[in-house]
Amino acid sequence: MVLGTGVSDPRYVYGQYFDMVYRICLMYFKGNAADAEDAAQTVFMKYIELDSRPENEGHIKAWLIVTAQNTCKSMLRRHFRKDVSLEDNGDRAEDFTYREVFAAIMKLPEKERMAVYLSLYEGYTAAETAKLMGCRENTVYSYIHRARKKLKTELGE
Amino acid sequence: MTDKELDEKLRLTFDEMRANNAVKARISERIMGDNMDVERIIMDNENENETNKPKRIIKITNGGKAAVAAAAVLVIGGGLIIFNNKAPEIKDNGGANNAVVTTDDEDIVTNKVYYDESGKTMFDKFGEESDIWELENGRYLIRQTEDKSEMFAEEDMNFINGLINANHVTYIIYDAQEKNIVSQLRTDKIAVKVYDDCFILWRPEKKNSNAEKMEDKALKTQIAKGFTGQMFDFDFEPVGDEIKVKAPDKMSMLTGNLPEVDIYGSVYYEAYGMLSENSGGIMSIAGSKLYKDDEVIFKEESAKLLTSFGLTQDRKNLIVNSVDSGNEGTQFLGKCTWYELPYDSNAAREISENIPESLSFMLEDKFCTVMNNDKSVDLNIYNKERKERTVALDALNTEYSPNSVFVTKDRKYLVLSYVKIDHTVSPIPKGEIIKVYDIENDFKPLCEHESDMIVYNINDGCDILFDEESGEIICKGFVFTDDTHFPETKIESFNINGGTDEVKAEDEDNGSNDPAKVIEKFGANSEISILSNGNYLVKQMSEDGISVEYTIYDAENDKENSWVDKADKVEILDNGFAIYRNMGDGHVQAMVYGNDGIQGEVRQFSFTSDKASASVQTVTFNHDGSLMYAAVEERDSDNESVVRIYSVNESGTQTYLGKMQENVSVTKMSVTADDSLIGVIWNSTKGDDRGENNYSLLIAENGETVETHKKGYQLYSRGNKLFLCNNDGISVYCAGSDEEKALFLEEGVESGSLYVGRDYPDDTFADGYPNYFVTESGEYVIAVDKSDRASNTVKVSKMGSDGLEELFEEKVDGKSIVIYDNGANLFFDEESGELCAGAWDLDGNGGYSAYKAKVF
Repeated sequence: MVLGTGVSDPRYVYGQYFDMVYRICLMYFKGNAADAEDAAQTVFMKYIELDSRPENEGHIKAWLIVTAQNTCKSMLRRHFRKDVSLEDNGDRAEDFTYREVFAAIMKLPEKERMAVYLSLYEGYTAAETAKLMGCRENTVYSYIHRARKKLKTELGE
Repeated sequence: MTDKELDEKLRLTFDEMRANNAVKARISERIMGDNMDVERIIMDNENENETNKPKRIIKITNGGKAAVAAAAVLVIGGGLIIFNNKAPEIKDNGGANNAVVTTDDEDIVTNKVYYDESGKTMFDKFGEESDIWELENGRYLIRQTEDKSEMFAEEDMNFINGLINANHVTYIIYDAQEKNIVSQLRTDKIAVKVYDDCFILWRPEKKNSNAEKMEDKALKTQIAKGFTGQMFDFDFEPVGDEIKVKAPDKMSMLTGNLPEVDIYGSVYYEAYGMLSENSGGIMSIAGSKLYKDDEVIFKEESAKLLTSFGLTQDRKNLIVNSVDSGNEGTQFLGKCTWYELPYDSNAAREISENIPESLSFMLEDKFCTVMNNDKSVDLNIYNKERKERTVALDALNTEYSPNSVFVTKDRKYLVLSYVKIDHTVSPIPKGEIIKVYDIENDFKPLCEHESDMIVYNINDGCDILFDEESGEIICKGFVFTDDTHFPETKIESFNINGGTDEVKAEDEDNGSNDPAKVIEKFGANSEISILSNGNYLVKQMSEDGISVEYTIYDAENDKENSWVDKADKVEILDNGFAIYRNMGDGHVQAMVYGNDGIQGEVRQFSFTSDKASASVQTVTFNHDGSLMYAAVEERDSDNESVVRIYSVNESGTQTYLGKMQENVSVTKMSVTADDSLIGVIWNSTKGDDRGENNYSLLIAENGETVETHKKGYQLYSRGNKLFLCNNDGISVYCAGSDEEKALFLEEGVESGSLYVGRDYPDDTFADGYPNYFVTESGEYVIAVDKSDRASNTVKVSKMGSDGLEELFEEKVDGKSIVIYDNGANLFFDEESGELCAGAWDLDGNGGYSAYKAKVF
């Protein structure tokens, strides 16, 4: 049996969404690249294992987001964290702005971090973000508002 | 920095957060093989009936990286691994054999329960006579005995705890993900107790003299003169020195009663005085003592009997069960005492229940007991101060008694074993029911598994393997054959999802989540709100008029949990609710609960003004319950009052936000989801407009206030908007942010469009209750026109950018529908258009029922 065809083909999904899944994992593990790699790998493993994969690209993306969150939470519960330093930024290490904003994002509480990412970067509406995070729309607004406020303070307005 | 500038920085940063190509390629290779050209492997399932068996094969490499095998060749050999007499004996306190042993078979672990595609289990792998525990780090501890005949002693009930007669056993730590036997140890410490952070192996030091053996026989149990133990971590590294516990003079210990060691290193053990001078050689126990190290902390007397003790799995709590005789010795009262460790005899919390013994465990920082009550098997949950609530787990079945309890590693499921014993016939159990409850869903029963086998002790996870992801459970027990007490091992498996249908089918008869039924169930004088998990919160004033009975009602399962509180103010939050109580003298106490009522996180808020004259007029919470806002009246030296608004967080940090005009009394506040606006409804306490409801808005962030000069009756916070309802209609407010200024945009809902009481405007609120409701999404407005005294007219409108579009209107004869300003008793399903509300009969007989309508 082949991996699949079209949008549900794991090879396509991997190429298309690996960065997104990795970002989510990286945020959960506060920049620990080794843990983020393990978690991202697990997410795609779970995707490959699926008996019935989502056919719709939107659903695939949503499935990956939710699974990534659950996988990270599960790993965090098991104290899976490895003693590896924060993300090895490679050539980005020279980019002061990136490091500064990255550090500020990582200081946010987990839920605020996810709400900002999903709504600002992934472009989900507050209602969609709420569904993906398992909370109410109002809460998403609240998270984003607070996150913005903290980030502004952290980044010196 | 504007929001737009910040957002741009965030986007750029997120964009940069990516793994480099080498990482991507590495992971890709791990999971899909070289060149990403790998086929998904699904093994043919030859036996259609074996539906529980996993279909996929996942190879776990030694590096711990999961990989889909590139070919469908991973048929499982899976030889039985038993280390009978093969493993070298290792000195206990010198460390176990830490050399990693990799099994040479091609076993594949797909989840915690099964290890291969043919449904073989961990018990198949290590032998049915093995005992298996899943450790907190995901590894397994396996205990193997070398000779089954050594395991059990006839007529010895302690055999169920296992192996007390064996001379040696082998312990194995197995990493199922790595397929490695991490370490193994052959030892004469034949008993083990597994905790969250370690396990301790114990060897009972048996008595050998003839007199001592006579004690054993007379008591039909086994007597020890002490225990020797060694604690290990989950790598099988010894922790600390060997622990030696010696029975005090003229005292004995029972081999089945293992000592326990708390996280502070104190050892707790029970020892018995023996009454051996009786005539005829009949011996008996003459009282017991519970020791902490060498200190006696419980001394059994004639009216005070120790029944059991134990530490919780985290080794941070000591539980002592005893029986006290009261009423001049005629009535025995069970008593359970909970000590938080380190042990302090003065800090005990007595949890008296009228049964002699409790099953107990900890959930986070809550102490829980399971016990039979008059009609049900109850779970009682205690915090440090009081009993929080009782959950009826099941109807009482007198044939089966709760016997053993286990909480899964992820703390999602509670497993309770009920044992069937007819003591009038035999003390040997005749069967068992294992029930699983969903902790996160208010202990909703998920499934039950009835068996003729006995799963006697799952308290520390012994012989129960639970795969939380798939819901599969496998457990080992014993079956007692006729005419002998010699048990046979039995292993059974079931799935919590397999039992769900059965439970649901039952539910259909018992309950319903139709809000109309809930309204009619609880009747008049109930304020019913729906929580975000679908449970209902019901608030009812007690007959004494002082206390309030709160009930969490799970309509799907027809389960209720009630408690009484003197606080009568409740506010529904996004993921729970808050109850608060004005203590006077400028002091408010509030508790924020999760949706399940008590079980979830309970957070306490407390506001205390530093002004002696202060009084808190009202409080509200932001949507997720992380902040409490308090309107506090403070008086100056001229006795003029001013109301100031503060926010308070859980750690007690109070922030001054702004003040109202002088001499007002705040009756209601509401806060937008982004915490940017606080709406306030207030009355003047002086002047011509005294007692009138007025309205102002307060900016939370810089204290700027803006008067709206509108009367206010109801105030709803929906998203980042505030909806003010009065006789003129509904006004909508939100904070403008385009220029980072506090601008208020009155969005121009057409004034009067919801003017429902044209002929008798005041009668819109004729019964004293305001009658608008803005739905949770802020999209629909429900209004009740009470201008006709013999009927109500219900109107539902959709809120659009151009005003309100009326969707529905119905005249309801002989009914009066009450809309509470917190939305209680009104339920509108925005997807189905079904509307339901509590309604009084207008015929004067005080009847109360549910009104239902289909809006679209």
